[in-house]
This record gives sequence, C-alpha cells and structure tokens, in this order.
Amino acid sequence: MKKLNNHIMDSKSKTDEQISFDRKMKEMHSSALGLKTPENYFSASKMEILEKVSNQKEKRFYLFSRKRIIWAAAASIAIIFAVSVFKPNVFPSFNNVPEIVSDTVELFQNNNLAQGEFKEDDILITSLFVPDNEIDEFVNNYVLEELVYDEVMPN
Amino acid sequence: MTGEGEFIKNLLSNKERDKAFKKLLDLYQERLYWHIRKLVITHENADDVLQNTFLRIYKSLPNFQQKSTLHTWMYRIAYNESLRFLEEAKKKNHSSLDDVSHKYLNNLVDDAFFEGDEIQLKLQRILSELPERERQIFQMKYYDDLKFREMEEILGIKEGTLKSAYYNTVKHIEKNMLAVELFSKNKV
Repeated sequence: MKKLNNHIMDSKSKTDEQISFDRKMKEMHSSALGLKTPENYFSASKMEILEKVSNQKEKRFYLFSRKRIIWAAAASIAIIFAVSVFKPNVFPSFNNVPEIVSDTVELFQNNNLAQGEFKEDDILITSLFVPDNEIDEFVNNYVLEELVYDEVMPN
Repeated sequence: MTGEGEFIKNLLSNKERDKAFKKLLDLYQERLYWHIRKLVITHENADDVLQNTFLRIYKSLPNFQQKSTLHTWMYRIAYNESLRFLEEAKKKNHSSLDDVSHKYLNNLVDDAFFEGDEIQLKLQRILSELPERERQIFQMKYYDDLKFREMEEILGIKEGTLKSAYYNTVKHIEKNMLAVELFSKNKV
C-alpha cells in the first residue's frame, strides 16, 4: 500500500490547465457559496480511497475463495450424507442413490470436483439434502482453516 | 489512439487499471467533490459520498461501455451516489427529499467548513427553496460548468427542457437576490 501511495505523491498527473481548473472551482465555491474544505483534505481523502479500494480487492478475493470452499464443503457433506443414508455399507456403489447425487460423487471420485469442473447447480441441488447449519459447522470447524491456510500459504 | 482513448484502455485493462485509477483520482477528485458537496451540502456528507463514488467507479470500470464520455459517466455515478445518500437520510428521518436538503441547509451555519456571509447564506437558502430538480440543473450548469448535452445524459432530461428550466431558475434567483440586496441596503 505504501508503494501505491508513494506513486501518487510522486506522480504529476495533472496538467497546468487542470490545476488551474481545480483552483478556479475551489475559489468559486468558496466566494459564491462560502464552502471550504479542511486543509490537505484532497490528499488525505485520496489515500483513504486508495486504501479502501485495496481492502475491497482483498475482501473480494476472500469472498471468492470462501464461496468456492462452501460449495466444496456442501458437496462433500452431501456425498457423505447421501452415501450413508442410501447405501450405508456399500460405498462406493451407488445403485439406489438419486442420479444427481451419484453424478456428483462420481465427479468427486474422479477428482474433477476439486478442480472446479462441476456444475454449481448440481451441487446446489445435492446440498439440499444437508441442513445449512451442518454445512456452516463443517466449513467453520474444518474446511476454512485447512483450505484458506493452503490457499494463502501454498507451501 | 488519442490520449483519452489510451487512458480508457488502461482503465479497462486488468494489468494497468490500478495505475490509471490513481491518475483518474488526481484528475477528477476535486471536481466530483464540489459536484457532490452542492447536492449533500455539508463537508462530512460530501466526504462520505465522494469515497463511495470512487469505490463504485473502481468496481464499475470493467463494465464501462464507453456509450458516454468518461467524464459524464463519472458525474452520473457521483450524482446517483448523492441521491442514494439523500434517499437513505430521507428514510431515516421519514421525510421528503426536499425536507432533507432543507435540514442540511439549516445545519450549514454550524458546519465548520462553511464560511459564508449573509449574502452567501441567502443564496444557499434561495437554492434550497427551489424544487430539487431545478436546483440540480442550476448547480450543474452554473457551478460545475457542464454542457446541456452532458446534463441530458446524467439526468435523463431532454436538452430543451433543461435549457428552459435553467433560464427560469436563473431569473428566479436574480430576482430574489436583488430583493436581498435591496433589503440589505435598506437595513444599513
């Protein structure tokens, strides 16, 4: 962030014409309407905006990761649940399991789920078999810690 | 490619966006601030809205389709953010948009960043007594120096209607200001 801010301080983005336009605007608002700003307001505000933009980008990355994790967690729980309910002792044979669940399990077995090669709608339907609180609990207790750590610090 | 075209290209490019955004801030921060300040009146409000405006601009850049100029597009975002702010204040206070503007105007004298004399305060009062739309049209033309064509894009009002509203508002303000000046002179 410091590096970004230094760049701004160093940059001379404004031309003389733009500087004079801004000055004129400031004078006009002050003389005609009596409006003023705190001293150095614009440079302080610029830093704040850049910081917020940077935080927003980090937050978006985190939310994106969390969404992916929740889908994966929902899928995992749904698979475990479906297998234990429909064929408790015959894993990995799924003859009596609903097609949507068995398809997801198959993807999971072929390792495609982990690579994101699955349809979110399929997982959504599958996850309907699992109560939300169980998904949340699983995500909070295990998946977030494990996967976020892996994602932020891969090695 | 023109300078503006190159600049927009950089704003749309994932790789160059951050650097170009900083330049955008340098170029437009002050003028958007004054545009917003006149709509939401106090500095504190304008500061909040300005920050939201630039966050919104950054977020929306990938969707900028260049149907309007960058300048107009950003003014429209600033204008919408200001209205959103006033709408929220209206909901909180269970009052109309005009009432909210009047309330801010009444608080203006207490704003540490208002230094107006009696005449300036009177002008603010005359402006605040105008219907919301007329006030915005006057401010955009008179203070922000926007072209009627640009205002048409921002406000979604036909150029002819804007022109006639602007000239009627100017007449109204002149008449009222003249009355204030005469009143002030007689008082002395």
